[in-house]
Amino acid sequence: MRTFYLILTKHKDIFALIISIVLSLIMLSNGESDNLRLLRSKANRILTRIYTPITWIRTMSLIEEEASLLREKNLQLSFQLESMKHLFDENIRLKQLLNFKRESKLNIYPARVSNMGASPHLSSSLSIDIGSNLGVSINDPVMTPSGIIGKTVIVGKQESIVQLINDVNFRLSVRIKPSGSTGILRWLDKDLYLIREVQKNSNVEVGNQVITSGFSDIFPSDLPVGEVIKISDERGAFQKSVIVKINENIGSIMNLFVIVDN
Amino acid sequence: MKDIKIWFLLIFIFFFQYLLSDLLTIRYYRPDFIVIYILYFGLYFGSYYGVLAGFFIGLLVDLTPMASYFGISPLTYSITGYLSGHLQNKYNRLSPFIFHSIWIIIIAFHFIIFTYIKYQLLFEIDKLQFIFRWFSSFIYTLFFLLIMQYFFPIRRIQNA
Repeated sequence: MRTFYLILTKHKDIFALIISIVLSLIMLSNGESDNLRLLRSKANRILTRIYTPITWIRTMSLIEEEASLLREKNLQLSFQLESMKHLFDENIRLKQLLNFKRESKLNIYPARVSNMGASPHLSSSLSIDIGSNLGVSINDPVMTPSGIIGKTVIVGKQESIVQLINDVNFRLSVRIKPSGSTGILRWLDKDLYLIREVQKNSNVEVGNQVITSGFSDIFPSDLPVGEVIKISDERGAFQKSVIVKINENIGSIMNLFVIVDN
Repeated sequence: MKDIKIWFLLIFIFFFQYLLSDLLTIRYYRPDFIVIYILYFGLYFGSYYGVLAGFFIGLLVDLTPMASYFGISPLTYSITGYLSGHLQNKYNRLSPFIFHSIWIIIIAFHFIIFTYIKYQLLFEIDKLQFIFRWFSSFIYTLFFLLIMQYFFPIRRIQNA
């Protein structure tokens, strides 16, 4: 017995290893026993509580990741929505153009703006995608359903350049309804236009409609142009100055019509 | 060995492993800080205490929710503790190359037992994948062990 005890104390590390290996193997083979399951479930309960802060940190990091994904998705959907809004507006505009063409008695051709220039400022000319192949010639009136916006100045085979109404050299003979006063319209500033040579005694009021007079060789009569927003009646002058706001937003024109053989 | 701080440190390492190793997980692999501690423990206190510490902490590890086989950790850690204990005070007797190679082999052996028991099916089906699993987990822990050499070199606890 003493010898065994001496051997045991001398080689206690080997005995400890053997015992631990045997116990480990027993545990491995009985891993599914009820007692072990009960023990593990109790330990699990305690350790899960200890692990709560880490779970919280992980959840927070996941939330951050999820928020980032949602932000990205939100941005994509915003772009999609903007695109759909744009298509909706374009659809309305094209429908208006179709109606205008159906109702108009003029010989007109629809055109699409192909180039508005690279200038950061509003250009006073633009390119359209039709030309002489469709019968377009120089000085053909160009308009939208809202009214006159310019005339062709250079015509190629498949494209033309339009001088816009906001060009400083552009002049348009107009009539103010219902008074019937006539004058020459020219660009003033931004979307404002000035009509000079209006008789001083003519009865012009704010809100009156401005149309083409028909005195021009280029523009047919009674085409819409804009609306009177201000009247300047200077003392000592023989004529009135009328400020007009045109109906079309020049900077956002995408589709227009060219009147040929008017 | 009466120093209670060492056993508290063992508990601390266990919680460190339990709470933080998950944050260092790369794909399937996480560092095993416990085997690093058991290696140091065995080198410092010898085989007997290495086996005891390995068995005790192995039990704690297998009680955690993520453990798959109950008994695998006491087995591998106690073997590692035993083997590392045999290196106690051998630093001056062996050449540094042999000494460092032996403890690296002990760590590799720990992981090969662990990987074999845990991935027995993989061993039968795809040996290459099995070796890859073993080697990856071994290298990942060895990486931390090599970092440890900078702060707590093994030769220091060997009184070298």
